[in-house]
Amino acid sequence: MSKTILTVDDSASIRQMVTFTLKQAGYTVVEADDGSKGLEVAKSVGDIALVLTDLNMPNMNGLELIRNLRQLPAFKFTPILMLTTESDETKKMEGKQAGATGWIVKPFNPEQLLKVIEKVIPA
Amino acid sequence: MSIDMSQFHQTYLEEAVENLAELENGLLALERDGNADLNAIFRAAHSIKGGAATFGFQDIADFTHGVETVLDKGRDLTLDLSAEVTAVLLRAVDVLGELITAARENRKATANDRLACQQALTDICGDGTPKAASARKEGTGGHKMMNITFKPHPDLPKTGSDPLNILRELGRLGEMTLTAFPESVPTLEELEVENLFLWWEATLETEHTVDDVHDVFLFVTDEAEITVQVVAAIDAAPQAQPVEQTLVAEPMTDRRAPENERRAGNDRRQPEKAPETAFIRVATDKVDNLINLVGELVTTHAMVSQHSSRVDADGHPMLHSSVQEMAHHTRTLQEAIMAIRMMPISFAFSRFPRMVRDTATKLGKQVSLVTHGDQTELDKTVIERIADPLTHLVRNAIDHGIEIPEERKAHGKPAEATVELAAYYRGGNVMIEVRDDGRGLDRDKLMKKATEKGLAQEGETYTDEQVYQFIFHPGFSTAAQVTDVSGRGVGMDIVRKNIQSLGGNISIETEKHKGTRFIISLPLTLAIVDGMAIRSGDEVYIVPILNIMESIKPTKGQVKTVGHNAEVMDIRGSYIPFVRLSEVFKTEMGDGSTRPEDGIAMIVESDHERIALFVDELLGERQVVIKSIEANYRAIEGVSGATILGDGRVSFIIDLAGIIKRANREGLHHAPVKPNKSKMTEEGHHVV
Amino acid sequence: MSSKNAVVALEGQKNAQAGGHALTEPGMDDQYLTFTLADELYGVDILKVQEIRGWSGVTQIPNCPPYIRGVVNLRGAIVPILDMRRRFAMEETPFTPYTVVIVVNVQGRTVGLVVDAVSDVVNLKEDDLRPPPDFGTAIDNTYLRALAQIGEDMVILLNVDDMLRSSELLAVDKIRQTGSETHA
Repeated sequence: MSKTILTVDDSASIRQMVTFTLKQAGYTVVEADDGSKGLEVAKSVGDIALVLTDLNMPNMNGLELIRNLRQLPAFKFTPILMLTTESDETKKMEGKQAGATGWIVKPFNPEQLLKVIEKVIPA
Repeated sequence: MSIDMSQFHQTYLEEAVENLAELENGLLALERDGNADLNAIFRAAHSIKGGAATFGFQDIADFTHGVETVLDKGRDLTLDLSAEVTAVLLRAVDVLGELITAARENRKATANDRLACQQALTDICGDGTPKAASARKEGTGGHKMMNITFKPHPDLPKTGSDPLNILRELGRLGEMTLTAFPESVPTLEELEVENLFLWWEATLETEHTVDDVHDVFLFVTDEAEITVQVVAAIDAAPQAQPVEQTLVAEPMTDRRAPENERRAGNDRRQPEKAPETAFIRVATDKVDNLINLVGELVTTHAMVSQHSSRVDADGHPMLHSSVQEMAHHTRTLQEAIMAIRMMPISFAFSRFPRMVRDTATKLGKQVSLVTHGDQTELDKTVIERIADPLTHLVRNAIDHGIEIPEERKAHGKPAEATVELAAYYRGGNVMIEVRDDGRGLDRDKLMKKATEKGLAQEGETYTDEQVYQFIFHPGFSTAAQVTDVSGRGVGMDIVRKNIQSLGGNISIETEKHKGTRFIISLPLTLAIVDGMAIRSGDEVYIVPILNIMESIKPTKGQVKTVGHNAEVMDIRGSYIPFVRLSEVFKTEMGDGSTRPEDGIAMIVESDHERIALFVDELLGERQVVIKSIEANYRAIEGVSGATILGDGRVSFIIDLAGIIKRANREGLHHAPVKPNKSKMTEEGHHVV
Repeated sequence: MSSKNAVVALEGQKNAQAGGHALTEPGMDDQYLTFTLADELYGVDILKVQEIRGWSGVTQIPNCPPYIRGVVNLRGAIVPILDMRRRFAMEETPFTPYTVVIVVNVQGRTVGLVVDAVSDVVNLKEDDLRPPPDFGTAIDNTYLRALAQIGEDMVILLNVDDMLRSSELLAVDKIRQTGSETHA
């Protein structure tokens, strides 16, 4: 059974790239295009090894999503990585406050993405 | 792993166009109301930049960085997004538009304003655009021994980090000896199982740098005390000094944040905004293929239905009810699939706020734009092809229709004019109106011009509608001065032609000093046409209902020969050309009728020319799925496409403009078509 | 071989190449579908043949040359049907149960050819092919790719691409681009 990763991003192209990369690497991927949908997916799928989320999203932003996820027993210790930009130092801290495990700095390429993911969920 | 990023380019660029439109409309709203969803605007810029950098569009990423920085400062209230700033941002939107378009077209961007605009953005930010701090600290190289301590805070697991993972990762950097210190583990009663009370010390023999080691702890630097110390260089690599760094978590003190969040929450609840919908992107050819297939299914079902009707109903009661049920499902499926191609007209309307603003500013007029029915859906192709005609109409309205503020005040009107774009359904059509509250069309001026141009005869009377229709003639312009906004009257004829090519038509209502209203009627979709099936000889054709005024069974003597081979039909005192379809098409006659009284004359109109089209029989109205004949053949004059009938045979869909053109050319009728319109109009506008 | 024949042979090669069919590998077997028209045996490259169907009536196309019989519905596609007897100005005969439509695929277009009957699939080597002589007959030389002897019979190999190109079938400016469309 491959590990399931939830990717939450309102940008279809980023989501497409992330999903493609992860699937190539053998992960199972579930997607959502904003925080509130991400939360719904997380609740319904349950067995998720890692959550990858963008921060700037409509409806529910990434920070809110992380806070909400941490409230769920199943996601108490699940690694959550946020996608952020280099200028977002404060965002990183806010993210950690909200319960994020770490971050991936945008722009990133598929190799960098996998490297960071392997850091929090070693194969 | 190597992944070809170019496969995502198209998705990204489409998305960028949408984000750019959102950015632009947000900025326009900001400029207009001084209030807009800054988070949404920022997000749009942010998405453009993030994707651009990821997918290798460095120029877009770099340029958007400046835009994003300004917006970020605006969002944080550290910068006033004044009208001047917004104007620069709108300039930047134009530059970005060109950069994105260039990328889509795979060419070099020609944005002349790019550098100046970038500078303007930098100037706004005062101390220069913050550059991405990407300088990577170069650590010490060479083989060395490090001492590392890792004292996680008890709540480290709550951020999803697993300390053992981190230690394993550290171990992969070299030869590691690890000691755990459990002395702070509390007694069993006090132990909180979710917390962590261990800390570790490691000796690492590695070729990696101190930075590399810190990278291992990257995500936990705030949740742990970490020290890394190089104790010895093992090989000859020059070792300047032992490096020591201590990182302690600081309390988070970003007081601005909660306020931002709140504001974002409020802004997001904009009542007029349509609810967000989840989208997937699908290549249009896939959808078209679905439409084709469902068309096949409808046809096949018609065949099954036809065959089953011959089967004894008493013997097979289930067969008939199943066939009926299948009919229902097939139709529902067809509707559902057609709906895939439907898009809200807001995709076409979204370009107007900017255009209206720019045009009005250029002409020194005050115009506000109001749109209605943004969520009215119609076929994607129709939306794409209606955008240009609409642009022309709106531009014309501002240029010719709307007065300068002084003139408006003189007529007791508010200085600010209103241009309205409205979309709504009527019957099986979508109506789009372009309204203005300007000076209205000047009937006398139009008549004078029409007479000069030989379009109207002196002494004749014309209905208002007829007079207004003159503006759709090529080269007809009443603008006293040719402006660089609306040009020289080229356009209105193109507008009408484009609308007609979509199977639609356009009419005008106007009142002096009150305003003008252009009413466009369009079919919901291009893939289906409402038609009348008719028989001519052995063949069945489809005539678009839109063109049919009425159908008449000619009486003896109602059709008269004119000259050698032309015929005209007397319809309540006016003569219109009588055109036999079989002659225009030169198809084999079969058992087709030659005497007018044996067939049917359809009074049809296209491009304001009216003819009586003679056919053998009307077979009834039906909706048909349009298929291309040019995929395997070439265009046929007088035919706009083909469809497949219930019996599986091909039937051509008639293009009346082409029929009339061909009939005129071949002299199949000599009756006057254009100038002598006055007689025809006594008939008024009777429509079937 | 007379000098005139030599020239024809060169032209034959040129035509074949224009049709996208390389005449460069002697010894390789090519397959041809043969059919009869009047009393003659013709052949087309089997790679161009999509399917063979019975004759089943057409819808007449307005104002088109008589050798274009009309169009049929081929699984949802509108496909024009060429009458090969009319195309080559042969004497017309009533359609029989053997009358078939050979559906060929040329330059991304699908076209049906009405012939008297389908005969066989034959293997021919490049060495078997002879340049077509200058017939001086109704059949325009440019559509002929080569002649070949099969036992007693002579088969006339047609160059379908060239024939369709000159058949008013494709308006010159409408030749479809074959560039592939991609979508991520």
